[in-house]
Amino acid sequence: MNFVITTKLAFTMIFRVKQLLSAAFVMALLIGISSCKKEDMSMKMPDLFPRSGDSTSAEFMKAQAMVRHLRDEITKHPDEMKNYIELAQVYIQEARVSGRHHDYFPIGDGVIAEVLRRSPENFEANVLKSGMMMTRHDFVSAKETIDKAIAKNPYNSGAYGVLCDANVELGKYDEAVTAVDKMMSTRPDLRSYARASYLRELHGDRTGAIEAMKLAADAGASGQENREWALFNLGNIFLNQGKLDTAEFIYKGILEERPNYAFAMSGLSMVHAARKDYPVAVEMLVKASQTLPEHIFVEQLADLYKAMGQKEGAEQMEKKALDAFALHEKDGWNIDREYAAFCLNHDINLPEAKTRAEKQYKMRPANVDALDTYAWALYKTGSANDAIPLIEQAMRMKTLNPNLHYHAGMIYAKAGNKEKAISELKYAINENQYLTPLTMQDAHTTLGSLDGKTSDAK
Amino acid sequence: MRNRAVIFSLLLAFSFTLLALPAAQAHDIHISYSQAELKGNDLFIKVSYYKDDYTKAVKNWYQGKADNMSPQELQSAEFEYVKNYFRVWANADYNQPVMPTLVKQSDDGTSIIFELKYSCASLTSLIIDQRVLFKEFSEQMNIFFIKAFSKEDNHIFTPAKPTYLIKQ
Repeated sequence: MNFVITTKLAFTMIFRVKQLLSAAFVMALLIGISSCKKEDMSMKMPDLFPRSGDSTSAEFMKAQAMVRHLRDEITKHPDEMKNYIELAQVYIQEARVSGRHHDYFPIGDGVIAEVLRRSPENFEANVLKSGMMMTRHDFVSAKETIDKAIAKNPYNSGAYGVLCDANVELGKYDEAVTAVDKMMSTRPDLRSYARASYLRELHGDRTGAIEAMKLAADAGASGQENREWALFNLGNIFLNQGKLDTAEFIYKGILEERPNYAFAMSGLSMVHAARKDYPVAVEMLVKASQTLPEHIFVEQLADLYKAMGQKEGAEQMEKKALDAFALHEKDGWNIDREYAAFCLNHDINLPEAKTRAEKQYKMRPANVDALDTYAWALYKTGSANDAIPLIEQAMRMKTLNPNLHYHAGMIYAKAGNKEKAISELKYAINENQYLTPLTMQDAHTTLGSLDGKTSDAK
Repeated sequence: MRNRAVIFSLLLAFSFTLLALPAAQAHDIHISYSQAELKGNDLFIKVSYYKDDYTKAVKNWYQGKADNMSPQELQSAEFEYVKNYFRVWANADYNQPVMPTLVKQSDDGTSIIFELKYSCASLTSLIIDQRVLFKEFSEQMNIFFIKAFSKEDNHIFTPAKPTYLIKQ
């Protein structure tokens, strides 16, 4: 009896243990699957995507080898954070040179998130994270993140670079100058000179901006992408002055050092557009877009078609540009200001453009671009008088940007302040007789009508 | 524009490893450029297509047979494809498209470039129909500039508007 009972009990216990084990196994399996799934969602480390026309270049091969090496190192030493950081940097840089932001940024995000999961205070990961926030135009969060990082390590030049950029975007220009000064004193290099150049330009010091950008370019090696970017910006300073020959010389020089550098092609396109040589301007932009799928080139194509008076072509390009904005937005970018500026320049979706411009202005009321865009939106939607204090604040630093002064001139003209309108439009045209493909004609016509004579449209 | 400039300069902050040049495979901008000039009885057209897209279209057109082609055969297939989808008729004679001769075919790594010559006599009008890459990419735009009959004009070929007419 006892034996039977004992046996029954034993069987029952064995059965229950089996049940428990099965349940535990299923649980473990589920947890495993769920954690695998979580891992897969949070961090991927794929090979780089092929770059057509460049997949066999030494630079690409080196980058690809770097990804494989770092991935191996991470597998072998999962607690070594510097490997994750370097891997994230490779993906971010690849996004920059290939234009595949939508592919690489989520991968970079995943790698950075993994570092922060393992080591929430990791300095480099927080700097990278704030940089990604800047790229997506989440300026407030970027500033908060970089401030915290710098509080823990005040000796990193790259961190001050991000702080400088965040302050610029938030309109805190004095703080941006302080940040770039610290950056220069920590490590004067291409990155710090380039930022110093931009800040000097904003403050109306064009000579200083040119000097700093030359120093930035000289600090880079010939043919390397960052040097060519600095030279491209140097060319733009001359282009904005209407010095087409100098700008063209610089852009062509870039293409000699780095053939097929898409931004140099777009710069050349703008030179040809200023000369009203539209077929070549369009050809250069198409070539740029074939080389690097940056949607700024589509926006510029839309500008050119509008400047050519090709309504249908402009509408087709506008649609393409708006599609690209939607794609960026879907991927989490804040493109309110860019969307507004594009629509205002093309006289499309004006109510939405105004709403977005206002949102940006409220978010960063001291930023020159946000002020200028909202003022332009008010002008375009029939509130020129309301635009005046905004555009005046945008010009408070005596920025030489002729387009800003063109906007001011048009706003004053509509508000009935003829004297200031003439002064601003003359200033804009004297600074750059070509302005932009879209504004050239308007500026000359308006000035001509205000002056009571026909201005010589170039 | 400026925002973008700052953002790009921002990315310089992370350029510890300096890599290479552009051109992505998943290319989301589908635009080609072509220009034409009528000189006497000869219409010269130079057209450039994004290489990856174009190769994909040719392979689709040959339904897998292109995979086994030699480089020379593939080059010739590429010309056949453009001949088929970039057509020209002279003087509204729809029965007889003008067949091009290949002046030059080149590849700069990013783009495939064709230089074509269409010879016709006593021209009074030209009809141009361009549908290159339309099957592959519904948003493809083929930009076209032309100098003919003492005027300059341009057109964007799209799936909705694949045909263009210019008269004397």
